[in-house]
Amino acid sequence: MKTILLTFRKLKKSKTATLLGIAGLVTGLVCVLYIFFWVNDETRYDRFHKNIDRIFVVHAYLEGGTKTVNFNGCPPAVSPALKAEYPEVESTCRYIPAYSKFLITAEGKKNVLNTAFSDNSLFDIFTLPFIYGNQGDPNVKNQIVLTKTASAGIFGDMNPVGKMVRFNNSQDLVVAGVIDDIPHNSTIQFDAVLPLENLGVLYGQTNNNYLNTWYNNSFTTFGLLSSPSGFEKIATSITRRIQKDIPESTNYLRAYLFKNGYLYEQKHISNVRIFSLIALLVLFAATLNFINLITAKSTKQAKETGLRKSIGATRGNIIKLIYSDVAILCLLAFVLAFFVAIVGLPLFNQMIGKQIEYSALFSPKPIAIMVLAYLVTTFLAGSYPAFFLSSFKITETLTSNFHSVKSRGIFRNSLLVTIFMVSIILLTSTIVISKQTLFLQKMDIGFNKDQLIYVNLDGKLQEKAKSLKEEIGRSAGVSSSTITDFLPVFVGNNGEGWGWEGKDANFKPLVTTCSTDEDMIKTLEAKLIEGNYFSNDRQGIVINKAFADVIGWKNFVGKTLNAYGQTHQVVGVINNIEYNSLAESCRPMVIGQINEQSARYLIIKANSNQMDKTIKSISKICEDIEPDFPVSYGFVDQEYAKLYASETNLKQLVGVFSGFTIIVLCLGLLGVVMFMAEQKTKEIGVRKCLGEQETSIIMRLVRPLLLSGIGASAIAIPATWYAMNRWLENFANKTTLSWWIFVMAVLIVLGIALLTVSWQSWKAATRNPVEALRYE
Amino acid sequence: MIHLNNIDKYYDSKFQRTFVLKAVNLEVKEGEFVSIMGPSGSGKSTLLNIIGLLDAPSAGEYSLYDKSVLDLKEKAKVDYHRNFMGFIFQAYHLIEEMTVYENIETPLIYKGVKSRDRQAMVADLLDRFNMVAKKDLFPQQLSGGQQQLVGIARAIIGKPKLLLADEPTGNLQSVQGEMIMETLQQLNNEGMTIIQVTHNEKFAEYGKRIIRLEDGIIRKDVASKIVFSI
Ligand SMILES: Nc1ncnc2c1ncn2[C@@H]1O[C@H](COP(=O)(O)OP(=O)(O)OP(=O)(O)O)[C@@H](O)[C@H]1O
Ligand SMILES: [Mg+2]
Repeated sequence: MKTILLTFRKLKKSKTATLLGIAGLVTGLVCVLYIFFWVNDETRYDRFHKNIDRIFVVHAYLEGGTKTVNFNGCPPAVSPALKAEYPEVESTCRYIPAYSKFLITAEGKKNVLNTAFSDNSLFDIFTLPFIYGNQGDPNVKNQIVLTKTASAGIFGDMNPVGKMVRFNNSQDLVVAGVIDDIPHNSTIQFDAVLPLENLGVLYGQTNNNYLNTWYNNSFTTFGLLSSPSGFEKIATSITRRIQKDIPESTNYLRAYLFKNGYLYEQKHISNVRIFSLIALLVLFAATLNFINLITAKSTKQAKETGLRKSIGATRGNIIKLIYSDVAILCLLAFVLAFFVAIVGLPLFNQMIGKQIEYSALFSPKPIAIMVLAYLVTTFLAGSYPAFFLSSFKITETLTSNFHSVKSRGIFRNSLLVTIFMVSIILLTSTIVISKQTLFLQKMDIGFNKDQLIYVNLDGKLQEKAKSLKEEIGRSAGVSSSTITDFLPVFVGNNGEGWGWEGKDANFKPLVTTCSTDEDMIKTLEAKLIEGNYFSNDRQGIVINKAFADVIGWKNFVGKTLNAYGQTHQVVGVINNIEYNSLAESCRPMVIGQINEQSARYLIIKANSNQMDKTIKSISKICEDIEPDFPVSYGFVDQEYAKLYASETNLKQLVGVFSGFTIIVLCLGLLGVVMFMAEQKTKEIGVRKCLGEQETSIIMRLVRPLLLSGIGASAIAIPATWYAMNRWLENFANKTTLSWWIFVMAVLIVLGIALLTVSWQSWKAATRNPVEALRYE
Repeated sequence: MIHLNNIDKYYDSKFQRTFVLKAVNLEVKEGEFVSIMGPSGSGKSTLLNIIGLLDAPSAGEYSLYDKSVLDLKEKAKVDYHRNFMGFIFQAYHLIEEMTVYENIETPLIYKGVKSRDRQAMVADLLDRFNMVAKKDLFPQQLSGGQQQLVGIARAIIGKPKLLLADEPTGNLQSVQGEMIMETLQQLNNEGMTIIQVTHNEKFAEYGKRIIRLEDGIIRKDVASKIVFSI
């Protein structure tokens, strides 16, 4: 009790220094807490499944092209084969993620839900607890499982089990059960899930043969092991399983543990590592800063220590006193940081696009880590002054002109260098990541994504696509439109069956196929490199530049390619349209003429600024043709933004965290300079009496700062250069690491530092020398 | 009580050895009141610090009650500080964040005196120095003389046998200085052994014996002229 009281009295006495130290520590801690939440959230991805250690994923990859291509899924026949052939496998499941939204009509309401398709065993393997009903009978096809929110949107609070819903306006399904909402950090995400057999109806197939093939890699395949140790056997023996049934296939299989999927397969672990390192650096800088500021009054403290010793305090007493002092201040900082973190959580979530909940704060792990961090910080922050202060001889401290300046020089400099270093590293990284994101946004993607509206051709819109197109073409604000089976942000349909004259038989590149009508070039503003686009009187296919490069001919027009037993005449070559992930280089693509059954989208180029009006008239036309489906439309540029969402996210994160570090930096600098100025008051006074100019006195204070800044840059720049180079290697399309990025970051950090320092130095320099000399 | 035999204190710099104290022999008996005088830099504080076990001599013998106190362990030294001697400093050296009461109480806490006993002892002293009304004030709120009274109170609360005072009146006006001197004299009359360093001839006369130091050598060691009646 007594110590707490004393600590607070001390705090009141040396307000500025202590408050700066605490503020820096709080800022650093909030930053660390947020990084911790983020890391915690990332590492807990999918971990809510009780069977997490026993679930594995099988996916296919293709070799034989220019490079290995990985698929998310594998052929549908793999799943039953796994279960039959491996006694270690308890259960398997095929799953088609909720790529698209489907219309679910019930109770007179139309609902558009993200719909997944899956085997019934999904609920045996994963922890998706039921609120109402159950997973239903595996042999019943016409059933549906909804999430809590989806169910509430249709049926309100009531139990909907046994009720009928109409799916895609074509099929009646019984609600088998309602599961709790799926946590946001889950790979499996859907509003509704239907038995896999319903896929056939959707794509116009009448039998279930498509579920038994050894090709078509669109089926995400999960397996549940009876014990985790069974994984090794599967991983090592599964590779050539497809070849047992189709010897000529170039698709191979690979298994990985589901728990590693998000972090390792999707490489999120590298960000986790980077941010953990940042957290440590920030905490280190904030702690150093804190130590510096609480020992700013060390002359006084050393005297007090000497005095206490002279009246009978042992070294132990003194060390205990210093530690408890620091412990109390740290506790204050931690409690404050916790409070700030709670208050700021919604804002943080908004900035980084996560949904971290308050419960994340109050679970045992973060609290344990906070307690650990507290102990470590207290230990670190206490050890230096404890060691430093108790090391003085009593007689030294008690003489009236005792100053503990010299021994602190190295410490203060390393503090400065560390803070500068962390700031420069973070700031450069932010700039590089921003530059890369901007680069991706500005990159030539082969078409103009602005003012492109797409309409999903649901229900009757598909068969009446042509008349819809004509109708929309006549309305104001539309300059052209094209019917397609793809959006330029995602093309999933591909195969390795393409051949041409002179091709090596073993060379089997993966080629994406899609189809459009003749107006694609006009609508998307894509560019032809050679020949023409196809039209009614010019039948044939168009290939992209990536494919042209793979084939390697000089001219393509008039030549033929063959695929799956058919011959196709090339009429033109277009510039690459960047589809799928921007991180990868563009893949070969063939565009054919669309037929009615494959029409999926109408992409419309709007030419007016009155987007609202255009959309209204488009909606009206759609509703007139197909009143049963709600009009579902979207904007291509928004869809496109999702392609670089993870980079945008990373930019936000690094931005937020470098903001924190720079605050810590400023507080630290302010403290250091205040301290230096105070120590040098007398010296400055004397120098002024001797006629030294104010500017030169300011330089005297600023110079060590500049030197540490330059020293820090010498470490920070190569480190960041190396790290960012490695990060950029993940991208096929990447920006350059220009020298100005580093210069700019260093200038910004030094600029902020100088600004912070200037007023303090100015204050010290312009002080009346008489006053300064009297100051004791 | 105190026996210094051939005490040297020197500092070695690159090429030379500077003596601060040279062959100092000193015997102080229980109940004495000794004033040490001498010009600035003559080694007065050094001598006092050696006696107070705050500093160690470079050579010579030092015993308290015929027991050598050189090369004492840290723990034994602390024990002497807690139970045997008290210090008064020129710059008072009060702990700023502590009230008068708490400042006086601190040595008792280190000594491990029970809370209730502490209260009684501090109350006694406050009463004696007429400081009861000031007990909750902080040092900055007191005059120099009052601060030094608190310093004395803190030095004697543990009932030390030996009181060491380095220029206890150095920062004070003469009226306040006299008050301090009278307090010391009274303590001496009650049996406490006191060694003080002072620059003030008049204040030196409060002691029963005056030692004059010059360049680290004891030049004079005489009984003071004025002998106060008891
Ligand atoms: N650490 C040290 N290294 C070298 N010389 C020292 C050291 N400490 C003290 N001295 C020297 O010892 C001498 C005696 O110092 P001391 O403080 O004992 O003098 P003093 O008699 O108390 O003087 P004053 O009346 O000014 O207080 C001084 O000349 C001082 O320069
Ligand atoms: Mg002295």
